[in-house]
Amino acid sequence: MKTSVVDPRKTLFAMPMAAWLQAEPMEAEGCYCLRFAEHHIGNPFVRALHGGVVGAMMELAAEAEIAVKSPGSKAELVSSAIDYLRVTKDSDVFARVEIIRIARRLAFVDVWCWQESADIPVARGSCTLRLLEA
Amino acid sequence: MDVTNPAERFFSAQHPLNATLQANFLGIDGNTLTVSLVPGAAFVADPESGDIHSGFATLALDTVMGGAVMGMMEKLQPIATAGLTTQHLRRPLVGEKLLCHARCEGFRKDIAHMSGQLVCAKTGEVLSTATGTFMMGTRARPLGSRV
Repeated sequence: MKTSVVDPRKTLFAMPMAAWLQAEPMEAEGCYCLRFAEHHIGNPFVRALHGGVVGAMMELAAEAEIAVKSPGSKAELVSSAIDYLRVTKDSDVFARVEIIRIARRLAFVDVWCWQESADIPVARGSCTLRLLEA
Repeated sequence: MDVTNPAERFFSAQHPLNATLQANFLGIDGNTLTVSLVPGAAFVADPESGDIHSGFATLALDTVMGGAVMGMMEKLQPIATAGLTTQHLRRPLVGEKLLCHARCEGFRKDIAHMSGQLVCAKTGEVLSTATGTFMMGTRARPLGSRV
């Protein structure tokens, strides 16, 4: 019998916010991509991405990875702390999520973002999420 | 000569993100800037409940705190967010009228320390809070080797 595996992130990436961010999961485990769009620009003079766009992408990636690692639960962001390490240029942004701990009610994750190379991060963040029944 | 505050000019300008956030300058009281916002359908996380994604609050707080930094600079120059922390108490609903207050806690050389609150315009309920650190002027001569 053939069984189909439903990606638990499907609902998350179908929501309007994910479409606005043009965010999607990548093949590599724990990795996500924000496809550059003109509406992501924060500083038109240097064509840098808006810090809030990068922050929102990190939050979405954190929620998505919790959906994969803790199926049956829905994660909502409680808090985030983001350091902007470099100017984010007008191109795609990639994110790698590292789960620090998933407890009964809370999850803690770190997110690293880069553009040209994973060795040259543009931002890092720590997120705390509340786990709810899906 | 245009004597309007730079923050007012920023929120009145046709910046695409301000239009998407439906952000409108309301006023400056001392060191606090207030902007009204309405989260649109593009930011919905749950179409059934109409809950807006936390990323909207992150975007809004970063935008309004950054706008407040620009409003308080003597000479207009580019700024960049260096650090942003946010706390989310409740997700706004699509179409809910919101106010965002951004307060300048202080300047130190070329760094501005800001705090912000996103509240329900009707009840004053706090939905999200934030602190932000902004660099004023995005280019500087490196003091040592960069890693």
